[in-house]
Amino acid sequence: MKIHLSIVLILLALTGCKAGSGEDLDEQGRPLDEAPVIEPIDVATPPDDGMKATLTSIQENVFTPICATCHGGANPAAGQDLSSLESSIANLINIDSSNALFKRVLPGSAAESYLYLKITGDSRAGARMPLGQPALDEASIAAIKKWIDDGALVPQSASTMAKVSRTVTSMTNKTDLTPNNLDQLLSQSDYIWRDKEPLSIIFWFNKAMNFDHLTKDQILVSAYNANEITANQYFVPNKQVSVHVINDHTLQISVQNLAPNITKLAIRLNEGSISTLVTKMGETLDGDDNGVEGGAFNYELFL
Amino acid sequence: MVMIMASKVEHLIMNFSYKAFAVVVITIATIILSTLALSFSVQAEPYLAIKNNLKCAACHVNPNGGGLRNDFGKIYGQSILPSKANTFDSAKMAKLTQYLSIGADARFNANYQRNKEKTNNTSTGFAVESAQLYLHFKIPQTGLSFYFDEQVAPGSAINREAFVMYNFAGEDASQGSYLKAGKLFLPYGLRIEDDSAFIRQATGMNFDNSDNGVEYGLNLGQTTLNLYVANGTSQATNNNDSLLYGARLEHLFSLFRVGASAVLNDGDKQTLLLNLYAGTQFGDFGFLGEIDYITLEAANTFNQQDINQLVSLLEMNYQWRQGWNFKLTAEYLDTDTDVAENEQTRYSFITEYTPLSNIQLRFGMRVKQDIPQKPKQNYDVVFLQSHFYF
Repeated sequence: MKIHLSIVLILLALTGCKAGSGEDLDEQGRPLDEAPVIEPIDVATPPDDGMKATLTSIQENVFTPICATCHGGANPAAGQDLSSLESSIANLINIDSSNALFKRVLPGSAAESYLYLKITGDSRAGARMPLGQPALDEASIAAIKKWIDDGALVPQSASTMAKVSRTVTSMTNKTDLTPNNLDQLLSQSDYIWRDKEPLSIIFWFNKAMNFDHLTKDQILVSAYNANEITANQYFVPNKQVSVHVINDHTLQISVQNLAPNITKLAIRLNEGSISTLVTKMGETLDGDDNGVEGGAFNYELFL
Repeated sequence: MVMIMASKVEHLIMNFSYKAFAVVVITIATIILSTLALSFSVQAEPYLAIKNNLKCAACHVNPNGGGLRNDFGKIYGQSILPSKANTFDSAKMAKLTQYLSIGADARFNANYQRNKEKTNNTSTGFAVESAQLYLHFKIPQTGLSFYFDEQVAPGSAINREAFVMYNFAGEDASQGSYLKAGKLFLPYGLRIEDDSAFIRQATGMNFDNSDNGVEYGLNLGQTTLNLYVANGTSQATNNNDSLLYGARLEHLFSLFRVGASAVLNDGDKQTLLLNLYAGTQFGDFGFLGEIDYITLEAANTFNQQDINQLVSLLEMNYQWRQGWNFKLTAEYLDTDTDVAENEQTRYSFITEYTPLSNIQLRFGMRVKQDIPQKPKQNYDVVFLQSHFYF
């Protein structure tokens, strides 16, 4: 009798809880009367009416409701907290993945981003995410792919500093690159430079920038010859440099007719004594990545 | 009469939902107190350890359970667990040499899932859920050993555990004390197999989330104490300025066991995990319970206040006959105890049939419930799983 009573009590307890009704809660399960959670909104993004290729939309529709059930809370799976927009930025963009060959998100290239491989079930990325749940719908996967391919922009108002998120070097003299034919350049990025060949360097920025008044005078390009590096640095003449704005967060700087004996090329952006780069919201580029606005970004290429 | 009863039960259930914490505490207390009062016949997954009133180390090379089975664990899986035992000696087969042994687990699933979205709300398919290979190498007569746990499927290989262990008492990890260093699954609460369980998901203490650190284990009779320090997160976001500190204490009484764990992840924002767990066996019925209380420092993005979470699991196992086990689990997750009506529940019914040594078939149904605003998180799952173990 005591055993039966105990089992009945246990069974009662087993079925004694039910899910919340969701009354007075928003779609994230937060109280409606709690002032809206301060979520950065893309300046150029109209009110959300579905899945969009922006981090804000992906956060609201995928990361928070689905991924953060495991990648959130006390001890996020794989140390990867996706429960808020800021933590997603900090844990995804240019962060090493568990596969040494991939970044979790490599701006400009979904095919080389572990996140994209994970949600598409690519065999190089282990178990498909979300784990134990149905695969993401096609619209969500397409939005994430486009967001990464477009450069993994973060919202203008995110607390993350504006910075250069990726550089790619290629041999090309094309200066008509558009977001649609960037793939051609990426496919040529694995190169061995030969004397006098043109070089193009693509700079991705993590926020939409204001390039309206950018000229090549504001960019310092210098070269080093083969003999004594420090003694033979010289600035590459302006006529050998061209600047092409691919879109508001991607910049192409090309250098032509380089001397055959140079060993290193250096490009300096955001040099405070000349001119700084700012976002469309007026935020100055954090070129030296020290968490403070300002500072030069130095790109070096050894040839 | 039936309707009145049903109404009362419904009313009772409604009220219970508001007092879930109290219910779980009372239930675990009931388990413990009842076992003290009732007759009990002693007869691992944790339910097997509880059923046999043994420590995890009785069956597993890793003293905290999971992964490679030791000789006793292999014999148990070959001879005691299945309906029909094979005649070969799996423990002998797994020993490549006297000091080197191997093992494996492989789970293959057929799944059907349906959520509350208005469209595209079902999915069906087959999947290799996971496949692991284990290797254990012992240096003779030193107490020193190396353990390796690699997930080899699906996709590319992922290392789950890789550690060196030194047993101060020799080769028996269930006795004396030991020291482990390397990549570890940290000891915390009940180490159940289901990583999607709330208690494993919300705490992050699961088989998908090992960490780099050092663990000291002390066995004093029926009491086990684990103390550990780890990075606090397993991968690139690790903050090198802070560490995770944890402890687990468990005692096996003659009729039941109780344990408690505490973890402080001392990052920029601290995380505190506390839990209490227990288990006991009544005849053919086995019961497990765990409650976790989680404090996430300044996690509320609106007011920067701490968020407190409450998680629980209750599990009942019934061994119908040899090779057959029925499992019923109820889970509860309150993602913020200061917010009403945001709770989640999950109920599961699993049938485990082990027809032969080294192969187990599992049929399961799970009902996950969340607030209506999250249709994707309200879903039902039906799965059939084959589990090869060696």
